[in-house]
Amino acid sequence: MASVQLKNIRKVYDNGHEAVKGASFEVADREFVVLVGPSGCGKSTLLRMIAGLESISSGDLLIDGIRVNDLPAKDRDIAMVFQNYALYPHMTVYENMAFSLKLRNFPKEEIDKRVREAAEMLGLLDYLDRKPKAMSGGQRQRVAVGRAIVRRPKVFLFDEPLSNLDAKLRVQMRVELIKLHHRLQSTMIYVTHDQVEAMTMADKIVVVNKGEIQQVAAPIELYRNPINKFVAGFIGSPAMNFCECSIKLDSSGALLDEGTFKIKLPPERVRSLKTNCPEKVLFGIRPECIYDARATTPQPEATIEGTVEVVETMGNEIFVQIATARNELTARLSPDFEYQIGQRYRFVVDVNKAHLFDAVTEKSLLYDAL
Amino acid sequence: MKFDKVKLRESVVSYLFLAPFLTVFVVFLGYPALYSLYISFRTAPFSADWYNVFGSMQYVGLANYRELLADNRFWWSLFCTFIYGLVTIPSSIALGLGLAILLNNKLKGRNFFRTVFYLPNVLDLYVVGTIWVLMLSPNYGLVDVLLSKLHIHISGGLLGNPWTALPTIGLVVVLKGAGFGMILFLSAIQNIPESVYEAAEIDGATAWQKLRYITIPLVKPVILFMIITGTMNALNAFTEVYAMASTKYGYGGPFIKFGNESVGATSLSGLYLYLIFERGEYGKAAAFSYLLMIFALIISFINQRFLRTEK
Repeated sequence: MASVQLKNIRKVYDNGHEAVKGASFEVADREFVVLVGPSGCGKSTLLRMIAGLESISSGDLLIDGIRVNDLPAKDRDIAMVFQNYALYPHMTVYENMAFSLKLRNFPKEEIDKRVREAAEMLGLLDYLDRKPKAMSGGQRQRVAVGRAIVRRPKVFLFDEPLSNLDAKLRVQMRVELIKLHHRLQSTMIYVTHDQVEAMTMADKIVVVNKGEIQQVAAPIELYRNPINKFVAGFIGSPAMNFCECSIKLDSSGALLDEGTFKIKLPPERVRSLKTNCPEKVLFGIRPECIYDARATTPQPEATIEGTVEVVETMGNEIFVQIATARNELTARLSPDFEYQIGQRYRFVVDVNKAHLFDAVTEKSLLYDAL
Repeated sequence: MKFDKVKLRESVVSYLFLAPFLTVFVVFLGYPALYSLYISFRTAPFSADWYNVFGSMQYVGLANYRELLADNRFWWSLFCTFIYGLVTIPSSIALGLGLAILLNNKLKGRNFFRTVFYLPNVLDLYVVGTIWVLMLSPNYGLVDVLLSKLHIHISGGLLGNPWTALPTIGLVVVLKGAGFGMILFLSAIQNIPESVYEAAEIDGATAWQKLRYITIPLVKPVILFMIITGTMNALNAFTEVYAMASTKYGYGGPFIKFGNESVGATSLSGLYLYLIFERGEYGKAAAFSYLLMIFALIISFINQRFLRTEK
């Protein structure tokens, strides 16, 4: 088992495109770290650099404290699970899993023992003689995981391993991977564009956008205390609502004016705002922090009135799209109330869970305060 | 009813589109093939009317086949063909695969090289053979001059020495055809996902191991195809020996002793068949080609069995 350290890693392609702009973070021994970001943000490139499949333009990559920048992939003692599984199509499941051990001249009995162990763990014992072609997506993904396990590598790398699976299978495999991590107790780095996967699996999440690391934190910390608008909008589903507001600060807190509604944030929430407060801010509120006014006591300075435009029924909850004259917000509500499309309703926001971002730099104005 | 009409019209249209090919096939391939089976059981007597030779042929049963099977030169020609195939098929595969692997890399000017290596394919084999005859000719040919600079002297030149003549012709054909194999292998290699190689790299495979365990097994269908077409080419080989051996050394020379007979070291079955045909022994020639076809079918069947890629 091992730790992985990235120090100011950059990737610049021959055409001058900078895919990764100085990434630094640390993966502790036995930690499950998820790199998350929209497609094309450089997260896969970062993973491939750790794997040794892409060269590192500058910076240092350390595995167990040893610089491995120039070490070929095969000598880094890492295993990788690919998005398209990358199974050897001409080999059986058994041969696929045994391949790396065979190349390393392991004795036959040892190979057999390890392959059967991994196959049992993954429920593949009945499929050892099959070729990948004769298997379903979920089974292939298991083989790919099995191929990684038999090696007992220092670090496991996963490159969007679940994105080719259907939604139901994805949830199932996600749970299996979490269990696997608990069982193997090994260092894992996992790349995904799916924030749900990131939130549910990670010990620590690295949010990447446009080749830059935005924030490195535990899932709940990211959710509660995003460093900027990007992280706030990326983590959480449905995404956080943003409304541009003017702001007035006084001893009783901060008064936000959207134009069609006014929100008063209590002084505890805006402690850090006293200095350098911009005139225009982005008021951020998560859909789950908006409630129907009929269900709460009247709070005039936390109320939004708007027209209901769309209602999405999930069963246990409903997503309601509310339009004010200037903005559209999504609220995640209990299905206790019914809403008529086109009618106006009043909603109350939880001011203690509101976020503020600089309208220009999009940095959180409350980040340090928490 | 309407549906059936549509279906009928579709099949009529399909057959209309097939008609040009089918016509050519029946007239120029189907009928001659059956007719040659017919004349393989007949022979033209010395007294035959040579202006209507096919009309005056007489039924002789299996005599043509019997004669051939008792003919040392027939067996010798098959042996030559076997050696020829043994030389050309593996080297075509090795060269084609080698070039494909080289040119699959992100090499500068690889499109240029791909074109250059493919170019000899568009030339006629007879033309290529003639050029090589000039290059290989003793004393003044380019290759012979280069060899003598290296103090290698082959008596009679490469094409004149019975030990080197057939392999040399084989080599010329391999070089000419290398581009074709290269294209086949290239397309097969490019169908292998990059991630499979990356997985192999992470699994610890060296470049050689990637070739052995990933590339070669995955291009096996192309290898099988090359073996089958290579076998056919060897059995049909004629132009190359006609161009490179027969002109200068007679029919399939240089000559060596085989049993009591003097036989040509490059007397491939295709050439021997031509010689029989040229002598006017049409019935025997037809029987020869049917024997060759039977051999070709047997070899193809064996190939398929041993090299079949699983479905």
